[in-house]
Parts: sequence; C-alpha cells; structure tokens
Amino acid sequence: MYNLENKNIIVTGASSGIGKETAIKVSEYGANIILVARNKEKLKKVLNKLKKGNHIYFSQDICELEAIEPLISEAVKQTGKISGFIHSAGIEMTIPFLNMNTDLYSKLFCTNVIAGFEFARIISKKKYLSDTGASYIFISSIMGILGEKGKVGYCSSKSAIIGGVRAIALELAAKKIRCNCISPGIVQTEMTKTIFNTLPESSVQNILRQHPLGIGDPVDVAHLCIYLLSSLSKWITGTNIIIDGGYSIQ
Amino acid sequence: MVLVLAIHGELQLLSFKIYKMKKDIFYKELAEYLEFENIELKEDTNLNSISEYDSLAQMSIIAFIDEKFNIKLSAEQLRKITTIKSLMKLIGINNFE
Repeated sequence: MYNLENKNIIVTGASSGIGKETAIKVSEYGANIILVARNKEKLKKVLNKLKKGNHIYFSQDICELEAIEPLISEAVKQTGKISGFIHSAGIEMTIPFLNMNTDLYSKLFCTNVIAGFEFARIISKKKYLSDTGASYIFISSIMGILGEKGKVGYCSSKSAIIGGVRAIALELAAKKIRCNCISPGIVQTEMTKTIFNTLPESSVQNILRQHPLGIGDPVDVAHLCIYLLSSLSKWITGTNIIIDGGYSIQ
Repeated sequence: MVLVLAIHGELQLLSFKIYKMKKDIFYKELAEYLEFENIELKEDTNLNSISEYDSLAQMSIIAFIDEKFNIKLSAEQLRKITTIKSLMKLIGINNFE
C-alpha cells in the first residue's frame, strides 16, 4: 500500500533537513524524485543518496517565481506527469515584531508560502498533472499554530500555509488532488540549530523539556509524507497534521 | 560607507557587506532600534542596568547587528556581554570609526 512506483514527486528545499530526508525516503518506496533547491553541490549529494530511479534536480531559487513553470515543464518532459509535491523549502527569522519591516515579511512569505502555492497551482494544470491525480504536502510548523517571541514573521507565514491549504484542497478535490499540511515540532536540522542559536539558553532548554517524546528526526516527518503521498491517505485532504512528540498537547 | 559585493554564481547569491559605522551613530541607532526611551547609550553603558534590557531586547540586538554588519551573533554570545563596549568588541572594533 505504500508503493509509490511510477509516481513523480517534486520536493522543494530538497538539499537539507526535512526536504532532503523526505526525498531519500520517498525514493525508497519507488518514486522518481524531482529535487529543487538553490545549492547545486548539495543537490548532487542528495541525488547520489536516492534509491535507483529516474531522479533529476534543479538548482533554482524558488522566489524567482517566473522560473517555476519552465522548471515544472522540463521536469514533466524528463520524468512524466506529476503525482506529488512536497513544499519543504522554508526560511526562519528571529526578529521582534517592533523591528520587523515589509521587506522581511516579503522575503519570508515568498519562500514559505507564495512559491509553494505557485508550484501547486502550476502542477495542477492538465498538461503537468498525473491523470490519476496528486497529493500535495506543505511543510508548515508547530509555530504556525503556537506563538513564540521574535517569530511573528515565521509564525504568520507558517500559519498562512495552513489557511491556504484548506482553500486549495476544496478547489482541487474535483481534480483528484489532495492537499495537506504537516506541522512538525522541533526536528534536528540545520535550521533548528540556527533557531536555537538566536534564543536564550533558558528558552532552548524549556522547549526541549516540553517535548515528551524528545525532539524529532527528519525521518519522522518523512514517514508521514510517505503516508500522505500513498493511497492509504486517499480520504484525507485540507487538514493539518501535527507531528511534534507531544509538544503542543500540554 | 556601505560596500555591497554581490556574486551571482551558479550555486547561490552571496552578498557581503563591509561596513564601518561611526560610534555615535551606532549608539543612537541601537537605542532607537531597541526603543530605549530617555536612555543615552555610551561606550560604558552597562546593558544589564537598563530595566528594558530583556530577552526580547537581546533578540533585537542580534537582528540589528545582522542587518547593519552582516554578523550573526548567538544568544549565548550576547548573554556574556555587559557594556556597549563589550558588544562592540564582539562585533569587531574594526567595524567602527
């Protein structure tokens, strides 16, 4: 039931963290992976870690929005129509609300929200979309539900994903496209290290203490992605699945 | 003076800022950024003696230094500073004139 053979899956943010781990894991279930990220060298390394398949990569800044459709078009030419999309690209920012400005909001929202929505919109065109439909997964964050000092930009952008996915899911259901969010808690990635670096040690320890099952591993999120890409989740759409080791239930 | 070098490479866009800031401008802009009312920052000002200096103000300092000097300080580094002078040392005294 977890067979993803012959499915072509686009993964943004595929060079590191959750995106990288998900791409690797999804390839193990037979899918062809279209890796998207900025850093070509890192992408090559990820490509080498994928299980055998018709995988390709694109070194692309996804906030160059006009480049998204040519990228998808080329991916379809090389691998075939698209069955899945995982938007894992994201940037974090720790800046207090009173120090935020419009440029900073634009930067965050472009990567975390708009580029992902653009990918989904374009993949949904008949000429790019698999005839059997597709599953879209947006990696949000537990910060999209909870608040944290200094995180107004990050929290609001992750929250925007959750809101947008509900509307997208309703519009695309008729095209056999399911669209869901995953909101992870703290997962061991480079970005997490960056976030922790900007927080006082007491706050970091407090966050760690509040994870009853400890902090997560990217593979924990990857496994949920596999489920959402597979037919086992065929009745799930428009929802936001929290995966946080119990952090938010307290 | 701000010198921005942008390298449009195949891999990624890199930008470097080489920035020298006048000390008095630094004191003034930092105080404004932190919204410290009626507090004049000077080299020997002890940040820990300012009631508004809390964890949020520390985040603001990290953001300010990143924006002005393209230097990313950690909260742990900032926790160790006391005076404005020690902050300037952390940033690098060569960045001031």
